[in-house]
Amino acid sequence: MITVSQLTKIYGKKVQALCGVDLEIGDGMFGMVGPNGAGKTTLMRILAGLLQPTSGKVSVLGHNVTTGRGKQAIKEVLGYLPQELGLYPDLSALEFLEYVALLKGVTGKVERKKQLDETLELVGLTQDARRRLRTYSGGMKRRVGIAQALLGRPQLLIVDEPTSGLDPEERVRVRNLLAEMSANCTVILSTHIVEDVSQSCNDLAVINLGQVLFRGSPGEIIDKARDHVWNLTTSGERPDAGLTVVSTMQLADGVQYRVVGNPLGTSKAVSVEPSLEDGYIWLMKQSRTQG
Amino acid sequence: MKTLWQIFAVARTEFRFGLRRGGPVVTTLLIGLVLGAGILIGPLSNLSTSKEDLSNFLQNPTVIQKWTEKGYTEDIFRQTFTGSMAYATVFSITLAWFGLLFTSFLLLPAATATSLPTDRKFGVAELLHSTPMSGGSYLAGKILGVGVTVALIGLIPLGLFFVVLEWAFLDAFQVGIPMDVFVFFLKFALFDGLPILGWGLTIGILAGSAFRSRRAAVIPGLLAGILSIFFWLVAFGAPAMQLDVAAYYLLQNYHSVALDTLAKVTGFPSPPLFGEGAPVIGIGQVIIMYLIIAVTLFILSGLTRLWLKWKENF
Repeated sequence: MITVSQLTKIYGKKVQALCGVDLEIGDGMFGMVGPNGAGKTTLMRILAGLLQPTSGKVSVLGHNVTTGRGKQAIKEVLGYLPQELGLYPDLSALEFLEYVALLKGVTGKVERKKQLDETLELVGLTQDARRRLRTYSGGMKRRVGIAQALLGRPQLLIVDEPTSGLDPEERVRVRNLLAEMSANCTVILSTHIVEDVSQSCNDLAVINLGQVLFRGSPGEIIDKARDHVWNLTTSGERPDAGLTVVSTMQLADGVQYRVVGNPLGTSKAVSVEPSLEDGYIWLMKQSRTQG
Repeated sequence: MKTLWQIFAVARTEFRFGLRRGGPVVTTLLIGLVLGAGILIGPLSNLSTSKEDLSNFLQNPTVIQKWTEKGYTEDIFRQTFTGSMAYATVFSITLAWFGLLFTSFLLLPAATATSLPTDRKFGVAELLHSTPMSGGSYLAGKILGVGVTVALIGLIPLGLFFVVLEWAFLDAFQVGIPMDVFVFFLKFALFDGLPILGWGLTIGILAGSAFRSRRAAVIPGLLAGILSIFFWLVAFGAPAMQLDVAAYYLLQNYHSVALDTLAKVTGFPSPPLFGEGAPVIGIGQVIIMYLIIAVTLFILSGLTRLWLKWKENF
C-alpha cells in the first residue's frame, strides 16, 4: 500500500512540479497518466526514494521515504525503470543484468543465474544476451531496462514510460509482462500513452500541472466523457475551435471527425461511445476550462 | 557481505570499462614508459663504454692474474662489473622520479575524472541510485575498479622495463639483472609507484564526481592533479634529493651485492649512495607518509560522499 499526503515538490525557487498531491495506491497494477511535464516522473522518483519532496508525507509499503532508513528499505524491494534509461554500450546485456543483480543483493551464484535466465526469457532476449548493448535496437534496450527492473524479485515495480519507443508488438508484450508481474507485486505504470493504461490497469490517476485531476477506474473516466464524444461529418471545414479533434477520417462525401466537447447546433453530430482516450481528453479539456 | 558484493560489482564493471575504453590504460602505459625510459636512458647510453671496459679488463693478463691470486674467477669478476651498472640504474631514480610524479598527476586524474560522469552520460546513474547500494559503496567500487585496472596495466611497462634491463645486462656483461636491482625496482613500484598512481586515480575520480559531462570533468581532474604535485612535494619531499620520502628510503637502503664484492677485491669500500653526511630517513617517516595519504583520501572521499548525498540524494 502506498499513501501520499499533501505532497509538494518545488525545483529551485520557482518550478512547482507537484502541488499538494494526495493519493492512495493499492496492490496490483496502477496507471498514472498525464501529459509531458505533468509531474508524473517527479512523483515516481519520490516514490522510488530518488528525490526528496519539498513537503508532505509519503509512505511506501509501510516505509517513510523521506527518511534515509525508509529510502533504503524501499530500495531493497524496488524494481525501477527510469524514463530516460541508459545502458553501458560496451557491456553485453548479460553483463549489465548481472551487474544490476549484484547491486540488488542477488549474490548467490545459482539464484543469480536462475533470475538472469528467467528475466532474459521473459523479455525475449536469451538469444542476444551476449551481444554488446551498442548493437541493440531501441526496443531491445527498453526490454533490457524492463529485465533489470524485474531482477531481485521486487515487491514494488515502478516503470516510467516503459513502452515509449517500442513498436506495437513490443508494446503489447511489455504490457502483458507488467500485467503478469502485478499478480505478485505492486506495479506503478507511468505513461502518456492512454492505450497502455486502458489495456492493463483497473486503477489509475490522471495528473496534470502537479495535481491529481482524477482518481478511479478507467470505466469512471469513460463515464465522465459520456455524451461529450461525437462523430461529426462535414464537407471539409474544420470543427469549431472549442472542440478537440481526436481523429480524422476522409470519407467519399466529406470528412468525419471524432471530437470531444459539445458541438451545439450541429445537426450532423452523432453521439458515440467514449473510449478511455476520449475520457482523458475530456478531463484535460475540463481542467483547462476551469483554469 | 552484500556491501562487499556491491563494491565488487561496481569495481568489476569499472575494470571492464577501463580495459575496453582505454583512458586509464593508455595513461598508465604512458606513465610507465616515461618512467622506464627516464630510468634506462642513462645506463643504456653508457652501455657500450661499460661493455668495452669489461672487454679490456678481461684481455689484460695482469688483471686476470691479480684476480686469480685473490681466488676470484672470471665469472665473479664479470658479476662485480655489473655493480656499477646496477648502481647507475638504481640511482637513475633520482632523475626519473619527478617524471613519474609529473606524468602521473598530470595525466591520470584527468583520465579518471570521467569515471562518475560516464554513468551520468550513459543515463545509468539514476538506475544505480535506485538500487540498495549506498553512495559510499559506489565510490569505493569505482576507485577499486580503476585502481585494479591501473595496477594490472602498470605491470606491462614494469615487465617491459625488466626485459630491456635484462637484455642490457646480458649484452654487456653476459649475466642477468642482479637480484638486488630486481628487488629494488619491485619495491619501488609497490611502495612508491603504487601510492602515487593510487593518489592520482583517486583524486581524479573524486574531482570529477560533481560533473555531469565527461568533458567538463577533465579540467577539474587536471587541476586536482596539478595541485597534487605541489601537495606531494611539500608534504612528502625528501630533504636532499628530488624524491619523496618513500623513494628516498628505498634508495638509501639499496644494497648492491656486486659492489660489495668489488669493494672487497679493490679494498675500497663502496661509497654511500647519497654521499657522506646525507640526511637519513627512517621507516617512521615513510609510514607517516602513507598515513597522511590514507587519511587525506579518506576525508576527500567522505566529502564526495556527502556531496553525492546532498546533490543527488545518493
